[in-house]
Amino acid sequence: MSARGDKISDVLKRASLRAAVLQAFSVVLLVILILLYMDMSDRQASLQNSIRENAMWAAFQLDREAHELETETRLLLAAPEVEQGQLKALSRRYDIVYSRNDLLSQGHFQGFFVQSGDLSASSIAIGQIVKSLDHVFTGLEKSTDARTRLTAVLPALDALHDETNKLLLTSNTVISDNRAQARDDLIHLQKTSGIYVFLLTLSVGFLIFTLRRQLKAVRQAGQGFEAMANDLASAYNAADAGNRAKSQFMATMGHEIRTPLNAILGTAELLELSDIPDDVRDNIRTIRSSGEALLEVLNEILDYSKIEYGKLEIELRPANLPELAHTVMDIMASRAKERGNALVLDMPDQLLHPWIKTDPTRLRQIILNLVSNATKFTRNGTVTLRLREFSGPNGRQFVRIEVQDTGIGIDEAGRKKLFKPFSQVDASISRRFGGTGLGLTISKEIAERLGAQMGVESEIGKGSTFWLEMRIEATDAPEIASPSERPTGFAPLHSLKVLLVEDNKVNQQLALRFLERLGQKADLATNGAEAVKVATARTYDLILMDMQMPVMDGIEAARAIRAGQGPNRTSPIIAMTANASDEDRDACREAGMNGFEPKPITLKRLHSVLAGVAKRSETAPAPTTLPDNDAFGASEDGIDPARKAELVEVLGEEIFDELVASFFADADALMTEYRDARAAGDRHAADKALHTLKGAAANVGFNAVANIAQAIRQSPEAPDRTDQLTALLASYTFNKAA
Amino acid sequence: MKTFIHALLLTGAFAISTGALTSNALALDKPAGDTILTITGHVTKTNSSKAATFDMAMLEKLDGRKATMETPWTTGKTEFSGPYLRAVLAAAGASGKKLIVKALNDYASEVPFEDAEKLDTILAVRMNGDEMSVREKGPVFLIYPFDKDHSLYNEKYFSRSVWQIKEIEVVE
Repeated sequence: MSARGDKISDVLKRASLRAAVLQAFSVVLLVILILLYMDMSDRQASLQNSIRENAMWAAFQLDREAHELETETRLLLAAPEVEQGQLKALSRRYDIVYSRNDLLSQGHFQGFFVQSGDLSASSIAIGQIVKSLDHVFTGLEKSTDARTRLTAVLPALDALHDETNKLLLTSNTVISDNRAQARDDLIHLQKTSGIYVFLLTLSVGFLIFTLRRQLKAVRQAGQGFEAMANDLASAYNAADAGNRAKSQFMATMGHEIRTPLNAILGTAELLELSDIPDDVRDNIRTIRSSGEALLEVLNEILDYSKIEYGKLEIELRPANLPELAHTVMDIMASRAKERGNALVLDMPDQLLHPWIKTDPTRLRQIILNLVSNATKFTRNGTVTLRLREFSGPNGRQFVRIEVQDTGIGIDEAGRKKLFKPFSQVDASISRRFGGTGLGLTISKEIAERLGAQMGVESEIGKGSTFWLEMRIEATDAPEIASPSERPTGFAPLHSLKVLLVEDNKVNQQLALRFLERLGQKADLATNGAEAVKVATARTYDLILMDMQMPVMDGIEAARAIRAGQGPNRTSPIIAMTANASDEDRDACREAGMNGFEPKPITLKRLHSVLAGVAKRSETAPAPTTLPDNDAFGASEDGIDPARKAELVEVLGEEIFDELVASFFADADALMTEYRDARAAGDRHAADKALHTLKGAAANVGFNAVANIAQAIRQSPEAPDRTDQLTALLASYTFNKAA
Repeated sequence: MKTFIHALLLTGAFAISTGALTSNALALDKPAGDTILTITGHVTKTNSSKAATFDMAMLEKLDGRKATMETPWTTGKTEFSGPYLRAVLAAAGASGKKLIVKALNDYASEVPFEDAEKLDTILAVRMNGDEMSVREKGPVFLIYPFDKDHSLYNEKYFSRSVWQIKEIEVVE
């Protein structure tokens, strides 16, 4: 590519050189044109020509008049009587000769008759003769001796005529010479013009030639650029693909590592609670704290890869600032204590806008990161989390969150590096305090996404203050407490033995996670037959039974368990179904089930079911009507935000994503199943597939999908809405992938 | 002086126009002085046999102009004054397509009638305020308005600029 770049720059260089030459030539061309014009427009020559012609005429006229005067004079002298009128006419003739002679020295002809010696001599001689005749012809008619006077001037008249004749001839010679000269000039002019025209043609030719080359060069350069752009684009794509692959890999690896790590941490925690010697407990605590540190690092890397991958999602919803601050204080309390730090929350008792619209999870992540850093770099000091509201310009409301420590502080050079990825103030910090150096980068990125500003003020040895300022978008407290503000702790439950009977993988996972969350251990049966088999072997405090399953459905399985002699003959069986019709309820009751829970099941409902069972209450929990799905909102990804919030809160975002992914996988399979069944005319099988789809969709929060699936089930003869369903699923899948 | 001459010319023009009104049917007055210009050919107002003759005074009474210009036959700027050719032709009741302007030495040149109508051609009778003798190309000199339109300054009009005019023949 570099070679190509060189080639292009070479081509351009040559082109610009040629352009310079071209410009120079154009200037030369212009000069030539101007010269040519000036030469051509020299009209003096043509005027000279006309004067010559006129001069010839003047000389001819003079000669003719002189001849006339002489002839008239002779005729008059030859006549016996001279009349006065004839004398007067002769005098006029002389006047005409006089005026003709006068003309030679006037106007145009001034120059002509003095240009050559002969001409000049002739015209002077003529002038002298004409003047000398003046006294004879003036007043001739009145004179008495006219005849004598006329006879006396005859020789002079002869001489005059000779001179005018000479003048005429000389003029002719001079004019011929001039004409020849003029012709030579003309030829010369033509020659020069010819040369100019030749040069002109040459210039234009060169111009065209150069222009052609120039165009060619430009075209070549253009092609080069295009090729280069293509190369760059493909290189960029390759790099981008590599980067994406890397980010994807990191996300996957992170997830793969976190799952066993969670198991390790959980086990360690359980071990800590058990009765063990103190030295072992210390060891376990080390395992746990190391594991937690590892988890933190892992989370940071995951977040960073998400940022790089452009997958960092921000979800705005009402958040309670004071609660958020308190949560951070709770979480960080023990760690601060470990390092002998006092953790202080400095916040007004009453905030103007306690509820703001933001992403509480992400905001908490930033504050946690700042407090965690402060704690890390401070020993036996104070870490203050300060929260203030203030009015900015235009009366806008802002909130400033400060984390102040009395730790080691950061110098100016360090502050500059602070928000850059993988950078810590210096290498020794990494060695002493550990960490990825990604925390602040991630925080800053998130802050930007939240429309907030972040900064730091610090002094070596005195401590640092990290701050975050964001505009308050005030909002009302949500009617139902948002998930982040939902009391996270339910009343502790006795550990129960639960059998979960569920065929759909998404629902399985969800229910198992919820149970796990509520401290329950559950066995899993994937269909009714399996459930009956398991139920004969082991006693359960509670059986959660899905209704529609392959091999044997929920009703049949319940009936079998109740009818059999197994240990679960009287164990409470709670039906779980997305169907909430009276018919279904009757069927459940008839089969000997104790209760009925509509899908999607929530953590709260599950808790109350478990609590009810724990109290050995004989009455089943009050059946809940299926929530009106239309009341749920739907966000862009098609998932009901409230449901999503709950699931993310309980399961964590990664697991939720996984759940959604497996839902899509299931949904594909179910749609295929449904279509096949419909094609085969197996109405029962088709309905079953739809039922499962509806349940799974409602579980994850895809209300629209659930609604359509239900609508198809209720009127299977109605126009086929399968396409609509497929399209909807496809669009969600696309959004997810995008 | 200039204003005075203008006034004089205007008065002359007025006299001619009123004269034309009152004595249209009558013949042109006989010239009191020497005849210096004769209009022959197609003329309706005559004062001799089939011709209209003018003396200096008659010509100077007609509407005309005074102009300073350079000509090929004079040195430097020269002032010419005299009646408009069209005024003279009107006074003679002339109509036609061309004029044959004849000089004392029998030189003659054809001038289109429209040169009189469309151009401010004058029959100059004075050069630099003085009457022109025959020696000074007088008595009458046909002057084109070279001062008004320089494009006239070429051989075509030079040859029409007849001097020492004695007669103009109007041809149908």
